Amino acid sequence: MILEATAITKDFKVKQKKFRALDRVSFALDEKEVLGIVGESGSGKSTLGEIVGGLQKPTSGSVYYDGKDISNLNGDDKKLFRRSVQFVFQSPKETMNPYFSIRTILAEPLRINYRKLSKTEIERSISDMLIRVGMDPKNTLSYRPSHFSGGQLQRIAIARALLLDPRILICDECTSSLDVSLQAQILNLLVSLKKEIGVSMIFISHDISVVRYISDRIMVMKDGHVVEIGESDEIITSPKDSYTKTLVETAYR
Amino acid sequence: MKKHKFTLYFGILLISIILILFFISFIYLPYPVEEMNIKGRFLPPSKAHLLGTDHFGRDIFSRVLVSTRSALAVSVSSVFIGSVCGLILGAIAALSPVAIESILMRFVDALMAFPGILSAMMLSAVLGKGVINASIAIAFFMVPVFARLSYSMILENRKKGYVKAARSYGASTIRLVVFHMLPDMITRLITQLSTSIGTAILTESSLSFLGLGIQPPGASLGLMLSEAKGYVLTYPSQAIWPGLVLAIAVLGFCMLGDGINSLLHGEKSYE
Amino acid sequence: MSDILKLNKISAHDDARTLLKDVSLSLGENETIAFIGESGSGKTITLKAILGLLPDDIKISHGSVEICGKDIYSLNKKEKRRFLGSHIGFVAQNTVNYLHPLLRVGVQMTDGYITFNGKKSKSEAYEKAAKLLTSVGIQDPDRVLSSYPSQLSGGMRQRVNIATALMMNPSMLLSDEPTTALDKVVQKQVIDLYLSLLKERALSLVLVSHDLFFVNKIADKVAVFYSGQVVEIGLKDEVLSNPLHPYTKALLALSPSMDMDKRKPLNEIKGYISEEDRSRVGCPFFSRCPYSSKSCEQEVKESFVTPTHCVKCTLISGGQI
Repeated sequence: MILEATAITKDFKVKQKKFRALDRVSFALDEKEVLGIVGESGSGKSTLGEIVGGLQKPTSGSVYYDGKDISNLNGDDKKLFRRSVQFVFQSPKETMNPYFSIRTILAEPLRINYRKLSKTEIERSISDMLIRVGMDPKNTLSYRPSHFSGGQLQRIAIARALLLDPRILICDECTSSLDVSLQAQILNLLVSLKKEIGVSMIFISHDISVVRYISDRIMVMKDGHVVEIGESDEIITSPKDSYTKTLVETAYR
Repeated sequence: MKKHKFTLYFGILLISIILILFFISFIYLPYPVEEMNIKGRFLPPSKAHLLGTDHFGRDIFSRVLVSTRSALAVSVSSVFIGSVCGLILGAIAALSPVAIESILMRFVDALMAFPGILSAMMLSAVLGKGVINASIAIAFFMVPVFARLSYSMILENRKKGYVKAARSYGASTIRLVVFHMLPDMITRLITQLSTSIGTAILTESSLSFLGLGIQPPGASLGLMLSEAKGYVLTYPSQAIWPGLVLAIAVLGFCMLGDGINSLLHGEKSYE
Repeated sequence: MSDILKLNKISAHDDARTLLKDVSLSLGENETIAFIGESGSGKTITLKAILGLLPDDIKISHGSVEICGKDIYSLNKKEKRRFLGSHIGFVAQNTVNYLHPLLRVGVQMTDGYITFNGKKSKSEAYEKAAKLLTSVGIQDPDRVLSSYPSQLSGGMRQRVNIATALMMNPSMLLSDEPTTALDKVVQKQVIDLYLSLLKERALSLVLVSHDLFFVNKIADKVAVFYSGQVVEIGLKDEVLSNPLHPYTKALLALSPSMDMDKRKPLNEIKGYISEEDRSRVGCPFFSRCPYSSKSCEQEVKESFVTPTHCVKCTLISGGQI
């Protein structure tokens, strides 16, 4: 077990009213496992992803990385955790600074996390990583994000996430903003990279057919609750909860 | 599209007039500003006195040149000081916990509630008359403007996807602001700086007009206007020239700011 | 059957790029045509060209748009507005942005009607709006009319948009990705709503969607867009069951489904739509196509496989199939 979340609760204040986005959500992620989180908009799945990845703090409950509570980490442990859990977000265009070149965008995580690296070392590792995600470094590095299409940018975003050699990759709707032809490319890329480097993944999506394809286990969420969690084939073939049933049915149609 | 460009170019044209006057004042000053000539009062424009002379027989052209110089010096330096202080204050507020944030921003709101010229007058009255104090006063009333700007820009930028991404790979708060947010903020900052210089020139003139800025017999646009106010009907050109330069300067900087703004943010997009 | 909409070789450019190239299609009364294709393929721009709503910097360089036999680009601004306003209803993609957040739904729904029929028609307009809301499946139309958009859910707003588009009794409805931003369950409701609307009313529909299931259920004709061109067009069954253009084939094979085999990599179209493809003389799909040959670099003629089924591909025109 590499990551464990216990009874995560998150409240937001909207117009003075308390709104519970997540209600006592617990799950565990094993080494080299892909956990799919599926749910409709407003189910709290993205918030959960950000809490587990340490980008937001839960109102109550804890997240354990390698058995250590991430809210108590400090110094080197904290840096190590930050580096080991990486994100690929929904809209790649928004996650890249439009004023920077791809070179700057990719070098930045390395510069922050490995201060001793020389310029040539950085250049070499970002070029290698770009080749791995199927981009040509020569025609990529000096351009700004606006030069590329969504699918190419998502590849670059995946390269950026993998540069830090993470143990967990959190993909938050990472194929939803892409066209179908690119969606297939990105899914294939993620699957092959997973085999190659053995990274664990949390794959968040509203599309149950995509989640089914990539995940070992699936967690179904609704209104901040976990509705059902289990082996992906089991969830699809014999859903126990009525909500999961409707989700599966609308996907088959 | 064309309208934006017109504003920009016209602003640049006006500012270059001011800059030319500014540089001439260092190279060629026909007469010392304070040299009086009782016999040569209210002279019409001539080869000796390009714009004529005023009620003390001083050369108006020379006085306009020196006034332009001091107007630019005071406004640029005060805007510089005011903006640096303001930006830092706003950034601290945006990045602090809620309690400190609200204290700082309410303080800024309170500063903003005073009309700029009023707070500048109050400060000049407390600190005493003179150029330096006038500059400090103007800088002081620039602080809330820039504090609000950096505060709102950081809050807005914090929601951007690329900032979230940078946090996810471990960028520190300072690095977020200085490296990741700055490029987005710089354009608006330039716009605000340019407009503020225009306002500062106007404020400096107002203070001098009211006798709180540059003291006679020195030369300042406001002071010249103030001195000319007794002769507006009988000898209007003593008021017209400094008034014209003042109008050009203020208009020029405001139009430049406006032009840059619409050039960078007014681009339309489709699809 | 007379054509209600006819596009005749429309091409559109902006300052730098060709956005549409020779788009031709026609739509009869009570027919539904669906535009499918990926983002940037020109579906939405075609829709906007029909509506006369292109941004200022996009110019139509040649071709004509005829609605009910009238070339709309020959009308002046005022005539065009009046003509389009009474003949076309438009349902935008983003239901959140297309309703004004500070005006009550009732005001927005009735605005167009009152503009056309004068101030006196106000009560009539409200009555009509309430009736339409009921017909799009809203139980309490009066409450909806007096609420603000933010008080309604996404599905409700989509219904309001559809009802608003029907206010002027248009003969044609244009709908841009009506299901995209919605959850699966709501999507199903919206699809059912469109189906029942088409059954009840005499209405032609132009639908932009990448939801092939929806298209399959509702459309009579399908036009496949790629990089600003219609690469294949025909009756639904012709295009969806017997796709001839390699791009259409790939697109149909790609859409995610529950049948995807976990052990195998997914089918994919290699590469990306590049800017050079847009300005290419020949086939825009050339650089990504598995069957491309030398002849694809020349201008590709349209070839009619059946009177209704038209494909732009050298494999067809060259007689290899």
